[in-house]
Amino acid sequence: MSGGAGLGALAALAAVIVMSVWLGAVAQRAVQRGTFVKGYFLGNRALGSWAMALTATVQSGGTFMGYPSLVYTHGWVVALWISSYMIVPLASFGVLGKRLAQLSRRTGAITVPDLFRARFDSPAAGLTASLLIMFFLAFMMVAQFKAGASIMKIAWPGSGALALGDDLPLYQLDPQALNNLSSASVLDAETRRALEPLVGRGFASRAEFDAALKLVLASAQRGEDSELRSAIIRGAEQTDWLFYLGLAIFTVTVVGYSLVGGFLAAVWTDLFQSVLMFAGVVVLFVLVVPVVGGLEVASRKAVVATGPAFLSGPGYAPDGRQFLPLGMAVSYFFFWVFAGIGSPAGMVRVMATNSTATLRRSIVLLAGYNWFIYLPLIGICVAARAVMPALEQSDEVIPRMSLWATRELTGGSFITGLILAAPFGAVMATVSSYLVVIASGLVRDVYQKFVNPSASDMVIRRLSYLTMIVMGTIAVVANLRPIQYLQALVLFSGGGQAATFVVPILMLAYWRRATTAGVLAAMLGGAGTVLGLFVAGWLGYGPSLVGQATRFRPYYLLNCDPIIWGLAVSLVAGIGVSLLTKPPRAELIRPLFAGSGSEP
Amino acid sequence: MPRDSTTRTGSNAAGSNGDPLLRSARREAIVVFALWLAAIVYTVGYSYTFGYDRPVESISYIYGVPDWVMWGIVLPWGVSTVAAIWFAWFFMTDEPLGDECERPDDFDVPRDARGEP
Repeated sequence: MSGGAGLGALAALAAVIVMSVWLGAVAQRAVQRGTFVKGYFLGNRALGSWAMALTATVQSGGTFMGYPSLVYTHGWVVALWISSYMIVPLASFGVLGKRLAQLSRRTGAITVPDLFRARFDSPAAGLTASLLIMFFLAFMMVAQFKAGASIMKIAWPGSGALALGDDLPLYQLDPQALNNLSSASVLDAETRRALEPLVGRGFASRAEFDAALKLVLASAQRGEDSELRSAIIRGAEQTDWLFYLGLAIFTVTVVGYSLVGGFLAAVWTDLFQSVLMFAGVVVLFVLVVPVVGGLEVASRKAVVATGPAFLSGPGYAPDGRQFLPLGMAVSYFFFWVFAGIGSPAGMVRVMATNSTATLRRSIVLLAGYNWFIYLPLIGICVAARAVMPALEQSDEVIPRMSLWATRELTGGSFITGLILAAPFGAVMATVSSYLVVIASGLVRDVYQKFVNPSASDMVIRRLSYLTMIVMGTIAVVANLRPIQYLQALVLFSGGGQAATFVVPILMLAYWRRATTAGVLAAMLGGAGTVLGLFVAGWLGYGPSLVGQATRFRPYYLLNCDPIIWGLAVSLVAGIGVSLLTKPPRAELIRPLFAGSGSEP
Repeated sequence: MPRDSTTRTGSNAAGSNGDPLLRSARREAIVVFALWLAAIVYTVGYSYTFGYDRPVESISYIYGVPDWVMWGIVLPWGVSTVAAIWFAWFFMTDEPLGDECERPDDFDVPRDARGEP
C-alpha cells in the first residue's frame, strides 16, 4: 500500500495533539486568575458566543462515526432520525440558558449539583445529582476512549486503512496457538484435526467464533463442551498492538491537557475540533457528490447495492428489522432536543456564559452550523453506499470515504488527515469535558462537601489532578478488552441524562412550588426507568427487530425509546411528589425568584 | 434587535412583580416548546405519511434528494433555522445576569454564619 495517505493522516493527528496541548497550556494561564475552583471548573464565567455555540451541545465522536454509520446502513430514513437537530439550537440556549446563568451567579454555583443544593437547600439533592451525573458520564467516557484509540489505529501507516475490510480480526487460530493449546493438553489429536479447517480464518466477534467452533467441533463430538471452546477462544485471541498504542497516546494526551487547563482547555479544544469538523464535512461533500454523479445517481446505486427500503422509512436492514417505526421516529424527535437540554456538561457551559447577548448569538451560530453538518453528512454517506457497497466496519465510513475521495488529489493526504482529525478531535474534546465534570463532581460535590469543607486551593487542585489520572486509568483498563456498542452507549448515556435531569432542572428554574422530595423523585424516577428498560433489554425482553442492530439494546416498550418513558415517569413523579409534600420555605425561594437586589 | 425588557416593563423591573429575567425566560421557554411541538407534528407527520414503505418507482428526486426527505425534513429544517434567527434577533430579550455571589468556596459554613438573611 502507499504509505502517503497514512503518513499525512498521522501528521494531522499529531498536529491536533500538539494544538490541543498548546490550548491546554494557554488555558492554564487564563485559569490562574481568580480562585482555583471557579477558574478551573468554570473558566471564570467568561465564555463568548463561538465557544458557547459550538461546544455546548451533544456532539461527540458519535457525530462523525455512529451517525454516518447509521446512514450508510439504513439509508435516507436516518434523516428523520437526526431531524430534531433543527430545534436543538433553540432548545439548548433558549429554554434554560438565561435562567441558569442568572441562578448560578446568584447562588455562586460552580457545578450543576451546586445549583440543586443551593436551590433546595438540600445536600441530598446535590449528592444525588452528582452521583447520577458521574454514573452516566463514566459510561460514555469509557466508550469514547475506544473511539479515540480506533481512529489512531486507522491513521497508522500500514494498518490497512486503504485496503478495505482487512482489519486485524479479534480472534484467529494460527498454528502457534494450536501448538500452545496442544502442549497445555487442552487438545487431543482428534480435536486438533477437527479444528484444522478454521486455521487462518479471522473472526471479528466472540459470538461468531464460538458458533464456528461449535460447528467444527461437532465432528469430534465435542461441540457442546463449552469449557473447551472458551479455552480455544482464549488461545486464539489476537493482541491488537496498534489499538493499545493508540489508546496509550490518546489517554496521555487527553488526560494531560485536561489536567493542565481544566474547563477552558476542554472548551477550547472542543471549539477547535468543531471548526475542523465543519471544514471536513464541507470539503468532503464538495469532493464526493460531484464525483459520484450527484445524489440521485448515488441513491439509485445504493438501492441496487441494498434494497428499495434504502429510500424510505422505516429504513433498509438486511435482517428485516424496523430501524425507525413511528414510535422510534417520535422518540428521536424527543431524544436530541431533550438530551441537549438535559446534559449536565452542556448546562455547565451555559452557566459559564458571559451575557445573554452571547446566548442569542449562540443560537444563530449553532443553527447555521447544524444546517451545514448534519444534512451534508447524509449525502456523503449515501454516496459512500454507492461507491463502497459492502464495508465491514460501517463505523469507519467517513475516514474511508475521505481516503477514497482524496486518493488522486495532490495534497490529498493532507485533506484526508484533516478529515480524520475531526472525529479524533471530537472524541478528545468530549472526553476532556467529561473528565472535568467528573472531577468537579468528586472533588467539589463529594470531597469538599462531605470530607473536608475547608480544604485549601492546593489540596483541591491536587485532588482534581489525581481524580483525572484515576479516571483515565479506569478507562484504559476497561478498554483492555475493547468495549463494543459505541453508539448504543452514547444513546444510553444521553437518554439517561435527559430522563434524569430535564424535569428536575425545569422545576429548579421555573417552579416555586417544587420541593426537595419532588426533585429527588423526578431524578430517581427518570434514571430508574431508563436503567430498568436497558436491563430488561439486556436480559432479552422486548422486540428485537426494532432500532439498531446491537446486543446492548433497551426494551423498546411500544416501539418507543426509553427516553420517552423516563421523561414521563420523571414528570409525573416530580409534580406529584412536590404537590404531596410541604411547600418550600418562602425565604429560600424569594431570593431566587424575585428581582435582583430589591427584596422587601 | 432584541428589546430590552427593563425599559419595556418600566417600574415593574424594581421587583414588586417578580424578576423580569424570570418572566422573559419563562415566556421564551414556552415559545421554544411550541416551536418544537410544531416541528415534531409536521416533520414526523409528513415523513410518516409520505415517506414510509414507498415503492421505489414512485419516489422522485429534487436536487438529488428523495421528495419526502426534501419536503418532510429539509424544508422544515430550513424554516426552523429561520425561526431560530428570528427568535435570537427579535424575540429573546437581553437582561443583566446579576452579580456573582461572593460566597467563599467553603460553602458548608452554616447559613447564619455567612451573614445572609
